[in-house]
Formats: sequence, structure tokens, C-alpha cells
Amino acid sequence: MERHKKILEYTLSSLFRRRYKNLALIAVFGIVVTVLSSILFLTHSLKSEALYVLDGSPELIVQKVSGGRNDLIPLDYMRRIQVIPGIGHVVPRYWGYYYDSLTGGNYTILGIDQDVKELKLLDGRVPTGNGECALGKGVSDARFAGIGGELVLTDSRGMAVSSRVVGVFTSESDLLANDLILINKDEVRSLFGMPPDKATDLDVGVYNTSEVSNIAQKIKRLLPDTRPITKNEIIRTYDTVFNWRSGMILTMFFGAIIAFCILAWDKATGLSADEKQEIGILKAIGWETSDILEMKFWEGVIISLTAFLTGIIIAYAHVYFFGAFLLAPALMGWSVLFPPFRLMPYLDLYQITVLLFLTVIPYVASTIIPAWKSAITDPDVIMRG
Amino acid sequence: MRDETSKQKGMAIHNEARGFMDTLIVTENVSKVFNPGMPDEMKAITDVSLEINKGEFVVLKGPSGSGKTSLLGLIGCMSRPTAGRILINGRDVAKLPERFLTMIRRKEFGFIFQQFNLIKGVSVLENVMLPLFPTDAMISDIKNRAEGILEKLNILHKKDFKVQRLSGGEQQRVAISRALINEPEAVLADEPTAHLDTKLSEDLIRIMQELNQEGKTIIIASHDPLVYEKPFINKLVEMRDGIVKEVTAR
Repeated sequence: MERHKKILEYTLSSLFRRRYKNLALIAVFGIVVTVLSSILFLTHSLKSEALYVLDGSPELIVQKVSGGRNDLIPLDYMRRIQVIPGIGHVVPRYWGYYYDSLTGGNYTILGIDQDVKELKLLDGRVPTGNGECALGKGVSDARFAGIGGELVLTDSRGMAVSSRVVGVFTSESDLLANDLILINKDEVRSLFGMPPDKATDLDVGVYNTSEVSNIAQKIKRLLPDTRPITKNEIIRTYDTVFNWRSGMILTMFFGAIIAFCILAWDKATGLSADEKQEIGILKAIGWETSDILEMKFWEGVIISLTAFLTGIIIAYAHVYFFGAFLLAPALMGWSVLFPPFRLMPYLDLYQITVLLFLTVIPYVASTIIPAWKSAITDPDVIMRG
Repeated sequence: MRDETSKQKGMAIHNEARGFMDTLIVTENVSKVFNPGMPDEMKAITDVSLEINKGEFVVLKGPSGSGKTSLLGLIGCMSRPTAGRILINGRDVAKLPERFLTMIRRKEFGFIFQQFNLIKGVSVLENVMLPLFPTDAMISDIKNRAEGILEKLNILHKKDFKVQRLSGGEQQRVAISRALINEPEAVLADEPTAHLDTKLSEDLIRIMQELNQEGKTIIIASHDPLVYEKPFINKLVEMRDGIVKEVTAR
């Protein structure tokens, strides 16, 4: 143990002696780890947030499609869907997107029933009638409208519609409700100019969730101009989108990874004359090959682990404190508009471990292997040069 | 002058009393070829047979390229002979695995290199302690031992200096200290006076003589008359072109 401590101590002093070179290596290594782990954190967080949101979403949503685009769905379709065996409930949903030219933000306006008494994650209360609204934190901040304040929107006729804010969603619900405006469903229809016999889509519940796909097919056969969307399909879509986008980013940075590998290999394999001389001297004065290799092992581990941990910490801060400003436009696309929301930190230990194995271990190996060649050579040969 | 003669006589009696016939190193028909089979193949030494006893002061004398450094390196287990045997305390080391050679090198020999080969950027104290780093000795013990040796060689006051800031003579003393830290049986020095002026050379030889009087075997490779003309040398091995021409025992 004492021997290992002394070798480690010598390694640290050796690293300090070549501190500028080592700092440069740590910086480059750290940047690559920062980029890679930022991508992993961001995509994982977005996927996790999305899956968390989807957890509470309907098993089956039925939309009407016209010319390949979404259209309002006739309420009459509810009656026709309700008769299919296995259907639990069919509830119309009234919602839409509202572009706020004042703030440049896109909001989601959702109509609720008056019999919804309370919602988790809401400060204040649920709107109970016309002229009241509950806002997501992002909307509240963007429009400077807290509880008791006023929110003015423009309806489909160009008329201003004012609502009193009675509730604001808490910050814990950022992804769920950050851009959300809850109003009475009648007000949604009037805001968007929806006909009284139509809704945005239908929330369909099934008794047996394993039958969702079959029921979706039956609905499609019964109503060919509809598009039933199951929760699993949405989950698969998120997966594909984020995997594709992260793959795109990874491809873009593949060049950086290759450049790093070349740099690391070049730095590690080309032992300087000083380093070779040092190994020869250590061998000549009584260090074994295993002692030299242990020293080089510690050297590789210290540099790579320092760079790795630094990179991970910077990536964590970049994604969860600074909103991943470097990567968000590429990975989140159109959704990078106001109001912004804070991602909940998620750490996937599996991914971090994989990244560790892909970076630290190759670097340590590329430090030990060239040193091994000098370490097994007779000191006499090394010192003669 | 009288003191010098008395000292030499005293040393001779001392050596006899110690059982001067204990053999430390034996080389039997040892040859060394560098880069065998390559265009730059070089026969450094050919068929060298030599005996060095414990407590002797031996000088390998010869011009540059005579093979004395190569022979010293073989004796000090720095490299392996191409042919022949080398016995250290009766044990054939030529075919030993590397880790045993290293152990012998660490335990039996202290080596002083021609260029000193101190590690730049490292302090005097740490350079001296280095040979004992890969052992289980406590760091405090090693430090105490190193400081004791540095004090003996009058260089303790510069223990925290980086070695590149020292003068040639100071570096020489650090190199000697490093060679002594493991309490070796023999001290090997390769052209130790090559970069020193006369005064420093005499200082070095005096230190070597004192070490010899303490019982250490000294083996010096040198072509400097300041070294090989000293009267207290027990054995002078004259080499030329990789061959031992003459061995003069005094």
C-alpha cells in the first residue's frame, strides 16, 4: 500500500511538472465530453419529460383528417364510436394553439369542464365559468399576469377577450403546463370560432389497454376520415424524433470525436525524449516495469477522469441551468420559442457509464501502451538514446 | 604526504582483515553486441572475464569506445550480455527475469551516471528518495535516510532546490546521494569526472575513497588519469576495443 501511495505521489508531481500540456489535454478532452454528455442529458431529459407527460394522457385520441391535415371532429362521431365493444368513455376535447404576437409565444389553450374542481400543481383555483382562466407559469411570466390579473386574448373575429387569472400552475409542472391557458370550454369554442357541433378531437378510453390497437383499427374502419392515435404511437414518435435528432448532432460532432482521438493518440503515443529518458532513469535506479506502468496508469486515470468529470459537470450546468443554449435550437427545433421552460434534471447512469468507458478507458490505454514499450526496454538502451 | 601513505597502508591492512577474497562479481566470457543483425551492429565488448572482490576499488580504464561503459552497464544489471555469464554474489544474473534484475539493481548497486541523470523539475530530496519509492518503506524513513546522506555530503541545505538550479559539483553530490540511498554493496560510476574541473574531480574521488573505506565496493569506468592513477586503487582493468588488455592488481 505504501508503495502505491508513493508511486501515486510521484505521478501527481510528474503531472504538475508538465502542467501546461496536461491542462491542454484536459481542456480538449473535457470539451468533447461536455458536448457528448450535453446531447445525452438533453435528449434523455426531453424524452423523460415527454414520457412523464404522456403517462397521464389518453390511451386513444381520435382526430378528424381532411386533406391530410387535422380538422375539427363532428360530435356525432362520439355516438358512433361509443357502440364499439371495449370502449369505456368518449369525451370531446376543446383545445388549440394561440400565437401571441405580443410576446412571440405559442400557447396551448385548453377548455375544461366546470365540474373539474381542482388540479394538482395549480396555485389558486380552477376557472369555474366564463371570464376566468388559469395560466401556465411561462404564460404568467410572459404576460405579467399573476393571480388576480387580467389576460387579454384576441378571438377569431379579432375581438379582444379578457379573462381574470384565478390560478397559475406551479413551476414543477413546467413541461406539462408551462405554455398552457385553461379556460371554460365554451370560451375555447368562441375564441377559435368552433361550430357548436364540433370539437378539436375525442378522448377515447378503453377498458382493456391491451386492446387499444384493435379498437383503433375498428374506429379507422368505421370512420375512414379519422386518425386514431394511440399513446404507444406517440411514445414511438418521440423516441424516433429524439434519436434521429441526437443522431444528427452526433454525426455532426463525430468529426470532433475523431479529432480528439487523433490528438489523444498523438499526445500519448509520442513519448517525448524527456519522458523516455525519465523512464530509463527510473528503471536504472531500481523501478520495475510494473512500477513504471502503474505510474502511467495513474497518469492516464487522473487526466481522463478529471476531464470526464469536468465535462459532465459543465454539461449538467449547460443543460439544466443554462437551458442547453448551444444545442437546443438543433435538438428542440420549433419548440424553442417562448415561453421557455426548465428541464427537470435526469441522469441516466447507464449512459454516463457508457460514455466513461468510451472515453476514459481508451485514453488510459493509449497512455500505458507507448510507455510499456519504453518500460520493457533495458535502461541502458533508453539512456543511450 | 606522510598522512597519505599512512592512509593507504591502513587501507591495505583493513582490506586484508575483511577477508578480501569474497568475490562479489564474476564475468565469464561476456560479450555484448548492440543491434545484432542490423546494419548498425556494434560489438561493444568481446569475451571479457573478470573478477571483482568485495571491498575493492576497481577502475575500468580505456579510451572512448573501449567498452568500459558497456561492461559497467552489464555488471550493474542495466542490460543483458549477448553471450557469457555474470555472477553477482554467486548468482547468474544474465538469464534472470527483468523483475529480479531490477531487484538486484536496487539492492546491490548504486549507480552514478556520466550525465548524472537527475530528473529535472524534481527537488534534490525527491531525486535522492526516488530509488526507494517503489518499496514498502515508509516515506518518513526514506526522507530521514535521504537527509542524512545529503548532510554527510554537505548538500542538505539545498534539499528543496530543483536540481537544474544546482552547479555541476552539487549535482554530482546529489547523484552520489541517490546512489547511496538504498545502502548498496557496490557503487558504480560511469565517467564521473567527465564534466568536472580538477578540484571537483578530486572531491569526487575523495568521496569514493571514503565510501570504499566504509566497506563499499567501488567500480569506476574512466579514462581520466586523475582517477586511474590514484594509488589506493586495488584493481586497474585496462580495456581497448571491447577487450580486456590487462588487469593490474595492486
